[in-house]
Amino acid sequence: MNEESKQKISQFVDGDLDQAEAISLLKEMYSSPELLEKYNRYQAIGHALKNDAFLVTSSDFSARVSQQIEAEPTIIAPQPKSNFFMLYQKPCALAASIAIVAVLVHWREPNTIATNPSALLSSPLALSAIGHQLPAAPVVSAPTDQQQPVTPRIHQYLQAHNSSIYSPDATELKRLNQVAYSNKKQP
Amino acid sequence: MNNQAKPSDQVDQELVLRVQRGDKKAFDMLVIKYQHKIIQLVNRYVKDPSESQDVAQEAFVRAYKALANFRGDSAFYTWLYRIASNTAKNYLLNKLRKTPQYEIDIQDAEQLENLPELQCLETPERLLMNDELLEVLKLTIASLPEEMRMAITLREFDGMSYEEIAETMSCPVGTVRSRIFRAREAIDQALSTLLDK
Repeated sequence: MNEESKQKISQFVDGDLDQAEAISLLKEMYSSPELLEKYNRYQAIGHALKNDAFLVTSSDFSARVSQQIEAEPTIIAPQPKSNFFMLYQKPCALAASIAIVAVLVHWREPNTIATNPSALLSSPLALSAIGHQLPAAPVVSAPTDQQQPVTPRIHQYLQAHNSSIYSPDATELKRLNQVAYSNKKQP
Repeated sequence: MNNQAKPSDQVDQELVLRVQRGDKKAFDMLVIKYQHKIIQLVNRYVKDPSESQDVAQEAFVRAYKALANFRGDSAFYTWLYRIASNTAKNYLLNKLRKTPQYEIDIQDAEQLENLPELQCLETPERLLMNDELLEVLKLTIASLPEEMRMAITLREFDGMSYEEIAETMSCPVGTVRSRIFRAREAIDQALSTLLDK
């Protein structure tokens, strides 16, 4: 046993070794009874200084425990299940968002998407859903003629909705129902 | 398990993970690391040295069996300490239940270490040996050079870290390491004549 090993044991007793050194020393002690004995002695000295009692661990203690552990079944603790899910969590969430946006955009703008699929990605709804800021999106405060292509039915509905949202009394609701009903009748 | 853990706790975390993946040798290393502390703890309850080692052995086996459920909510040693102290208390309770004059409740387990019947199990030879060893220990400490005596005293009695001792003694940490090691070696050499008998 060289001086360096003994000094390392002394440091290990005081918790002065880093993780790699400590594990390496434990491996050495595992296979060297001489080193293990030295470790037990250094600990016994510390104990005696503090407690006025000498307690020496028998040299075969760890071997006896090891023998008994060998007869026990090997532990295989359940590993965290989240590995697969964590790996694909972000791409799956993004794909789901895009799919939802595609459905919504298709519902709102069926003609545009059918003729020009790339419009899907440039649609304001799609961009807001995937976290993009529109560079200079105009704030629409009231329906204009430019919105007409959506379809006259939807335009009418939106107009009716905008004018009724702050006055949900019974008369107004009845009037809206009538508008919706007459819209249904249109070809 | 957090990343701010002390190096000693990081070693334990690594070894516990290895055991949980089926590496029994990693548990042997945990036994080596903590055997003295656990025997010392059990010895507070079970005074007979050979019995205390048997109880400590049982505590380690129980810890191994329970390790699959250890999630690292507390430090490994804290968890092991609880298992060992419960094993020692159960051992004493079982022993006392066999003695008719005691009707021990589980709540009284904390008082077990104070029962006189359990304190006088050391043989006269062992007590004499203990006295001799302590005498040699004191003489050796007294004969150490001042800086070595001071370093080992600050470490063992005051529990100072190497850095704190270096600051107190106005010397580099490397010098503290070396002084503590040489002090331990000198004491061990002096004691070996008695211990190796």
